[in-house]
Amino acid sequence: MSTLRVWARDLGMGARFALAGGRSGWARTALTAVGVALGVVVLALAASVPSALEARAQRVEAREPVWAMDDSGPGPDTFLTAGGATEYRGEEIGGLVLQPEAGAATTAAPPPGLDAFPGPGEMVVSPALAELLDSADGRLLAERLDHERVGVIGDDGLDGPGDLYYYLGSDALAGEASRATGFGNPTFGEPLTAAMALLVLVICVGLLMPVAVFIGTAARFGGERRDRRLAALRLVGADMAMTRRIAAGESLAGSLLGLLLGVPLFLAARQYLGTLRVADLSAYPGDIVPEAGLILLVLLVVPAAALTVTLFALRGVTVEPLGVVRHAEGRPRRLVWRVVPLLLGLLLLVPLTFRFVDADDATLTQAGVGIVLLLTGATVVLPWLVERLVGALRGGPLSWQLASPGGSSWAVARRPAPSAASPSRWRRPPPSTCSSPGSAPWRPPTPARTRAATRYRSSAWTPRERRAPGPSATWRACRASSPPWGRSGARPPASPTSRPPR
Amino acid sequence: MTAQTPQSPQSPGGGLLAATDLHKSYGATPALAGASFVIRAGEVVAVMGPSGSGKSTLLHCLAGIVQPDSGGIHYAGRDLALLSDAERSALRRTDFGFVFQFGQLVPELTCAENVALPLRLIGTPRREAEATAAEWLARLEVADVRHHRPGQISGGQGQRVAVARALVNNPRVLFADEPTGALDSLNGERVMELLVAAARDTGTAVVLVTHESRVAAYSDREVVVRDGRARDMAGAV
Repeated sequence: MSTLRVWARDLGMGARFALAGGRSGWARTALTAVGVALGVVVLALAASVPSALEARAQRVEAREPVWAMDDSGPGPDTFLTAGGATEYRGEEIGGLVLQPEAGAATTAAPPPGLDAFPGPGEMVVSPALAELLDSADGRLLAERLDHERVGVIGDDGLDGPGDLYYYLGSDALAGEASRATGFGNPTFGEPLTAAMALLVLVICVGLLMPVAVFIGTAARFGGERRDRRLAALRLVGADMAMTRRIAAGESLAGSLLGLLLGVPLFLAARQYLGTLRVADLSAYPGDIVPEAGLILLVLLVVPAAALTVTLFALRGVTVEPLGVVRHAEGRPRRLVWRVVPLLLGLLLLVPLTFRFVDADDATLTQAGVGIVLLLTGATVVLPWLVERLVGALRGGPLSWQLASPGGSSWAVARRPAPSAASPSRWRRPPPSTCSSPGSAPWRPPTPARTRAATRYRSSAWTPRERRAPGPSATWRACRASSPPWGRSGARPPASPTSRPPR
Repeated sequence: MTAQTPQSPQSPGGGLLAATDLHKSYGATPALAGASFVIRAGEVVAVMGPSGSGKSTLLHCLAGIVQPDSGGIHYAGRDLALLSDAERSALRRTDFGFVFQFGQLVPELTCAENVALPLRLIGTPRREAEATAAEWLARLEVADVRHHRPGQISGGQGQRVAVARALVNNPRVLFADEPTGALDSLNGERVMELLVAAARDTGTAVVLVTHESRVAAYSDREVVVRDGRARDMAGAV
């Protein structure tokens, strides 16, 4: 059997499990698909920013007058222009006053989006401006632009659907006006400002980080069932490589579904963005087109990232025919590697606070990498911080105990004393019941002891227990002290899959 | 599904699978303390003993699933300790079959797909694998549940499917750990009848771990494990 066929078979089997995995399997696949789809949408939108800005710049350039450079005087194809821009309630209203010097007989090409020059006193407005002028909010602006509206500027003449712009015809322009010979001045293209570039970058990174965490969480969803399935496969002869390929196939199925889901989501998001106007910027959905190279990268990187998350989740896990053994249980988190991305991110970003002036490629790359590292660092340092914090508190509710180093096995294995508030919950253990080495013998409940037990006093947590908190150690101690035949005692809780066979 | 006549090298002691002086501890608790065991091709051996005596550990060691702390296990002349994980996995695919107390079926697959799984893993084309699986399901009298998922069938049916899956590759050794432990007596007996009959037809050796004498009665020989040591009731070990 060729390697390719083996891979195809194993990945296909994984996909089969993903799609026929029952409710939890479907939920995991659906969540992975949604996470991947969100990632695709965010990245596709980010990949569309250059083309959207380029399209916008072209639209702005296309409506800029081409000034007459020589002093050749008026002609049949010249027209006078004067700026008509104004501001209304913080919104920039762009405008141009036009006067063809040959009057109605002009041969000059009209501005883009118009069929002809507006006549004197006539005004052609953008759809957004028309809407504003017609609204109650725009009443004062309508008084200011009190001209006869004779039409609407077409999409070709606007930088976006939210563009507030107008052309006003005139016959009274004279000395202060500039002479122009046409429209389409390439020198007026608006470059991407540093602030805008950084804003786009931060938005993309900020949106992608939770998406990555979401995909990671989705990959872990239903992990116990997947572990059982992988163990069953190992039993019938799947080796570790096969097992990983099958797990990868499961993840890949969700990712591919996510890609498929991402396309309509992106199209919907594109339409929605067409209705938004942020900081005087808006874009036509047709202008939001991902760069071909970038979208190809997205289509490859996002499933690969989901795959990596899955394989990362399998790190430190040994899938054996009898079950799954997790090696990392109870091991305190280490700070050393967690703090590295945080420091690197700061190292990259701090200098930019003094010299972020131009949005050149190097600076943007530095800022982007710095932000990613900073957010990644914060994400990986946080669990360590929580662990240290609750460890230092030495007590508190059960959830705190579970968050402490090795606390899960300790807190669960240590059975609290009977509670007066819930007498049926904790029963007297039989004489052979195993308990953790440091636990006190059972005594009838008293309110004082109940309160103390439910608080998990720090004094009960000896340094020895902190050093060796694993369930297996406790269980071994239990086994050693139990009679060899007919053990009926309960074993301290541990992962059922890590239970040694007897 | 014809009977096998294994001609491969034998393990020390003349058996197909032999273990010598196995020791295995879980922490401070010994599970096996010098257990030895041998099984010949086509033989059905019941491993008996009380709960916690080390029966299952012995079976897992014999199958190469659990590594003993010391002692040797030889299968068809090969020392299992020297095999890599991939080689031991290959053995499970081709030479060994397993039936545990709970079928260990893959819940996402139909019964037919579960039975065909070992064949698929060794590269048998899907159609051929499914045809063979259908034959085995019919033989184990569960052809009617072939399109059901394990969660949709009874425990007895599930164990029969598990037996079919364990035997579909014509393994040379079948490891059965309390195969009827979760079944009522009627179902248990039927499963045992079918298991042993199929194994004898195919010449498969069976290591049958049980603590029930009525199940052990299907075997050719009984080995009792106590305190981590195995004692052949026929005096062979």
